[in-house]
Amino acid sequence: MDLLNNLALGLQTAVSLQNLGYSLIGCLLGTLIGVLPGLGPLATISMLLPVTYGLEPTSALIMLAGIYYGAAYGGSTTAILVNLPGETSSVVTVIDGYQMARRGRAGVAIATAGIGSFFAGCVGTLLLAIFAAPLTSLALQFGGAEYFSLMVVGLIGAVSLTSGSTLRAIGMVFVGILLGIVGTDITSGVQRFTFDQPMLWDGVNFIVIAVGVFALGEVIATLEAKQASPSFTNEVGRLMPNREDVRRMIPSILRGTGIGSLLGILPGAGMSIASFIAYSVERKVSRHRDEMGKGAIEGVAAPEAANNAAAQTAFIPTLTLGIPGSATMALMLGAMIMHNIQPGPQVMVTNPDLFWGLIVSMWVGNLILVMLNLPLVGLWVKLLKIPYNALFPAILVFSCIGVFGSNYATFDLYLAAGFGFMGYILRKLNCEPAPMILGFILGPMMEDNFRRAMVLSQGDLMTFVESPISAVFLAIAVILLLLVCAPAFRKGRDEMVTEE
Amino acid sequence: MTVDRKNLAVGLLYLGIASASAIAATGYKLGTLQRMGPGYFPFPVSAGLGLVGIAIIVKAVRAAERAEPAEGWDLRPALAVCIATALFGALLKPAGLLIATVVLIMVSGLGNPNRSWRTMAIASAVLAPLCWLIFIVLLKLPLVLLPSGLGL
Repeated sequence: MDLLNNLALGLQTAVSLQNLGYSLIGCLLGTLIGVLPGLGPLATISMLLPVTYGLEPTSALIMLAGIYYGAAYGGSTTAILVNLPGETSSVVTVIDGYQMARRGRAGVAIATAGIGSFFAGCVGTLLLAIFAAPLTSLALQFGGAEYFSLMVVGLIGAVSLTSGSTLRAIGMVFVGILLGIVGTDITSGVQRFTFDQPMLWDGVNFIVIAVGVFALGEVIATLEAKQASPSFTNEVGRLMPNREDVRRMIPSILRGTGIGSLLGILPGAGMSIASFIAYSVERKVSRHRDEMGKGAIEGVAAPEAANNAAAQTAFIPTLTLGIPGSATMALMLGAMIMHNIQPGPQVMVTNPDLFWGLIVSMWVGNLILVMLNLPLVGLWVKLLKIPYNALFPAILVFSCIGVFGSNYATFDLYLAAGFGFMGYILRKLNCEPAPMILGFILGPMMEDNFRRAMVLSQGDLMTFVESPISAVFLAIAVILLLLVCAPAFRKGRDEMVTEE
Repeated sequence: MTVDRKNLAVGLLYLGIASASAIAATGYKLGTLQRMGPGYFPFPVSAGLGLVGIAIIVKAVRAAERAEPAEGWDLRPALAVCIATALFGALLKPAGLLIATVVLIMVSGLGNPNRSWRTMAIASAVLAPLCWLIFIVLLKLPLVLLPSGLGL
């Protein structure tokens, strides 16, 4: 009954009045920012990170988890009402969600997304709690070679499933690794790529890159596109789904949850792919598949359940192995490191209240979101009416104070300005910046583990193949890489990603 | 001969970064595989990036007919936002949060094609006190609201 004991410990931490409050504030802030069109979860989290600086680690992480879910949730509300996906994972929700909204069923669509996400979140949390302990004990046996190979799988997985050009994504990973090298080499004490700038001796602060590339980059791109305020549905309509709706959404939610939970665990797969696949599956197996694309409730229920389940299970590798599966998770990992927690198998042993508290608070966060989002729909609709002219100064001010607050260094703001410009150039060249963040976080860990493996094996590269666990990881990496190169897979993936 | 210009630009960018980092890394001790020096790891990474860059360039030159349409570049918003961010950094410590915030909003506004001075004034009037409340009063970040020379 370890599981029950652990969950009880988590419950104790998570439902303390204080942490419950932080979870609530996190969900509220996350939704508030996430609902704004054009602000994806990456930009939302990087913008809101500074709010957690002053908190103790457990509360800070609980609040961050709230922000994370709030951002994902707010994104789907916007997708349904405005026909504008704020993030790739709600791209497919837009298709049927907006059609439902046009027929005056926006409320039902939002409620369906909420119910589906909540159910998926519950299953995801349970899976996380069940798999955390065995995975952790497995991870404790990992040495440098195993970790290195696992990170290779993560990076190749992330690259092979991006929607754009695979080659460009691989390049972005390398650029991220190079950025991660900047700073003092931990074993030799040599300053690398620091251009004699003492401010760079500790490396580039990851919040600087995240805010620069994502928050500033998105502001610049939106300003350049000269977007007028998007048109959207004013009428939310009835919220409660009727009996027919409920009957139709249940199988879709179940399928979506299954697909999402499975894909979330895989490093690199992430939420977008989960929702794409869930939607394609609905189009093949749903009893109402002929209505898909014309406002079918299945088209909202399945992808929303899938992306929330994936959002939840993506925490499994992040928390137990310390290896982020997606750019968003890399951001969460960076946040943990900022709060002096080195994620990995040790966390569960050394900080059990933090670990289990975080897991239970995720479930609590999902509950808060359902109770928050549905009654407050009217408020979110009003938020959508704020013109971008008034919005972007607020985004900039918060981003800038956030960058400064992470280190109290003026230099960081100059760097952030540089990364903002870089983010703009990358967007112009259609280079997805997300793999870069993953490379940036994983790069230093890869070097460290590679070096450790080489010391142990006395410079014998065969150690990566001789360790069975490492060999399995590398085999998976090779298969993934071959799949990416195979024309049939590429075609299928492109169809899946572009099909509407 | 036409080339896919966007891909060519990406390829050249990657190749440029790779060469720069490889050259910079020659200054660090290489070491051996068993005892890796600080210069060991940057090399394969730079080489990988360089190879990707070359592959993209080759593809760009070959697949000219499938080129993505080139878009116009309007540098104004990018420059305004980046300069505003840097100015905010320069002003925050000496001049305080209030002045830095107003300058950030006004300068970044220069890059907004639909700017209206009224909205920017309202945004400044709302955001400066809000940030003071959140970051100085509630979160207690070590910032000052007004120039320190005023003795406040």
